[in-house]
Amino acid sequence: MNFQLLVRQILLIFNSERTISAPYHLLKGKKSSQTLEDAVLFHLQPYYHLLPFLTRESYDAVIAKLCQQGDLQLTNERYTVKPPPQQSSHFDGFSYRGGERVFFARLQLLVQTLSQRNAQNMKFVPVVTDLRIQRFVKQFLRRYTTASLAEDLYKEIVSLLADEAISDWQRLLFTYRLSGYEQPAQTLEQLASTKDVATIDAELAWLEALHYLLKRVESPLLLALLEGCIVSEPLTVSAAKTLQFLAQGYTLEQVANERKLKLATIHDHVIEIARNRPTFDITPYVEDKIVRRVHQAVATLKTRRLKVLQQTLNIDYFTIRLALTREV
Amino acid sequence: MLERALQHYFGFSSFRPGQEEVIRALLANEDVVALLPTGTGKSLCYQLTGRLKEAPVLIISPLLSLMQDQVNQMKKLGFKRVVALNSFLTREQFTEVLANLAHYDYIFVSPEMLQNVNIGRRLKQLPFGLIVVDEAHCISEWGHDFRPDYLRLNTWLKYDSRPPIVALTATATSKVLADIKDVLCIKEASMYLAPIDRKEIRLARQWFTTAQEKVNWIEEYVSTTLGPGIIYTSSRKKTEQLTAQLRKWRIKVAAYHGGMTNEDRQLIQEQFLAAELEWIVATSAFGMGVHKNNIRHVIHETMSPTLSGYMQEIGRAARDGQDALATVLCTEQDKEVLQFLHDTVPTEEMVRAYYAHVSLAISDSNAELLKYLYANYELSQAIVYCQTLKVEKNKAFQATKNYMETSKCLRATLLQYFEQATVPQQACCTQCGLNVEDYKEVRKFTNLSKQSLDWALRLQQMLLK
Ligand SMILES: [Zn+2]
Repeated sequence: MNFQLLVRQILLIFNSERTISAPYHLLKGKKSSQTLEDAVLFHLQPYYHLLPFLTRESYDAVIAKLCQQGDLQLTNERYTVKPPPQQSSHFDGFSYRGGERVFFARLQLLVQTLSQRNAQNMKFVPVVTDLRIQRFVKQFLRRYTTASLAEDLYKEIVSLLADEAISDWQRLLFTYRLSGYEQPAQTLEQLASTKDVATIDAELAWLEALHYLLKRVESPLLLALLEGCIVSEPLTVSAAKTLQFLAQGYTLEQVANERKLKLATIHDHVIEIARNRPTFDITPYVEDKIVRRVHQAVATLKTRRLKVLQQTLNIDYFTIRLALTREV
Repeated sequence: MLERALQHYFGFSSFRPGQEEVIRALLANEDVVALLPTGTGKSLCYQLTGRLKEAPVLIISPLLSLMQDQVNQMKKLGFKRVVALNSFLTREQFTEVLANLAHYDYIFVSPEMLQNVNIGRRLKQLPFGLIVVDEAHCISEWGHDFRPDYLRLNTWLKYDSRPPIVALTATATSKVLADIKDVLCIKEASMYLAPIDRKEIRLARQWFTTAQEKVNWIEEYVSTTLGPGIIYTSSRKKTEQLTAQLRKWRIKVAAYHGGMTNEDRQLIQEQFLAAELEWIVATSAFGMGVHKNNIRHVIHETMSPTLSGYMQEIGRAARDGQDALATVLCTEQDKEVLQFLHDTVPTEEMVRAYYAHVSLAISDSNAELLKYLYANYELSQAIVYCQTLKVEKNKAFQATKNYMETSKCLRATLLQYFEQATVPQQACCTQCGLNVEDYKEVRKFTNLSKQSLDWALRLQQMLLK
């Protein structure tokens, strides 16, 4: 999916209920609760944090282009967008949130190191300057010391790239961005120019391949490189649904009615949400001073056992559990 | 004995002009101001001195991108304990480096880092054998690339156990030299001024009526002439446009400018080095730290704002001592643009307004200068300072303009600005009867087929022996 279509798609889903800038914040992966909750509410998780380095200029340029082409009309505070042609994509920004780039940087440095090592040249300028990545790869090389490491990695990459769901263009983007001995990588801009496409479109094609492939990694070396790169979706489907209702202003009782679930189940959802989302606002359900009282009790009684707390404070279990999801 | 050390640490059998004298003086604990033209191995002077003194070396460097490159190059040479203290480090990395300062043999630092009281104090406690002030001409507003921040070195350098200083500069007009000595408080410095003329670089100048004519000329030149070469232009946008234009001729060319990521810039440099690229279209961001010795052409699509800058940029050609061509393309409009660039000194009204705390719309460089002036000078002094600066900038502009217009020898004109004399030579410049064609190697068009990409092959070449 190219950048123009992507922006149109997101604008269409927001359906003019958010400003024209909302897709920009979503793509950048802004960490505000508004953007995060919007991603969930509008089912836009696939596009969250796709392009953390997107500049406002290039975003504004594509908006201007869409307007000029007649695909988008801006009328004070609202917009109308022409629906883009139906397209499926493999994006899953919410699960990676930049982790796919971390994975790739590790792979770039590992391939470079192994390639230089094959050529018996240990003096080279690392393609990745980030010290955390350098440290990771150093540790990796300490852990995997077999002589056939380069060959094993080669086999793993080839079999991963053999997947028919990705195109030859994506395979090129993957491999030519790796550097080897006397074979410096190509920049995205250079690769894009060989196909006469915009750099950002090449970036999206590369990302889409990564998002698809990384979930299918089953081989040991690549799995080790993936460590910590995928955020497992912390919310169960049901809790996510409850969150959607809450974001629309429903009370807990209304959600229970609407979803034909017990109030206790909804309470469990709220606890789950609060645990997993530090930005989730709990004050509608428990007052600040109650939260402080619970924590004072934890400190004096030196326990977090609910039964003890409940008996001492005489507050219901839900409120105590919710209070305990926050530190004071 | 020094040569044996050179052989031992670097594998070279002899010094280049100037290096040995500088190192001897530093080993004798003298302060040194050295003008070593680009590409003559400035860094070797402090690298070897550090090794011989068996003491850590502090390198103060004003240009962040250059600093990173120097660190990379040193690591490539096998120096392990090298670090750069600058704003590129994350907070975590910074704390880690600061906690382990004593571990490093070579510490690069930006002048603004020294202003941080904590860092400044910690560094003074280290037993440095040498302090290097790199790109020292940045200290002087009479040099190009003036950095007001650099002036504050003055205070930091005043401490009892201070080791000898070596100030490395690419420009050495008498005014710049006086400023360097003044700011660094080195009265008794030894001076090494290597001749800056590079005979193997033939100078050419070409006039046009429109900018489009220049583009046509470059297309013609590059498509028929074998590189490697650099084309300098004045803006990021122009580098991209010209690159796109040249790619149509299937020339292996890429753009290089400060708006690209560090990683991408590094890759372009390496591709150029590995001869995967034949031409680079760049802004002045390109060049420092490019260690390619067979560059045959440097074309200036637009003249550099100063002759010092021009000298440095063409100096990247012909490091192997073989002939090269440096061509500047001129139009009448270019002179206006240059004039505009030199007109950036704060006016008297701006200075008055700034001192009166009236908010102003001004450029970043002017804001930086005014901030510095405000902290150090009275209003009247600041006004005089800016007036003098304007006069000097105008002189620099006149010198550049003169190079574009003169009917005399280009080499003589250039060297005159650096207060050095010329030795007449054959095929010196287009004013002295240089026939440019004698120095161009014709490209055979048949070589240029569209690059075919094969992902499986590439992976094999990278990972299988
Ligand atoms: Zn001449």
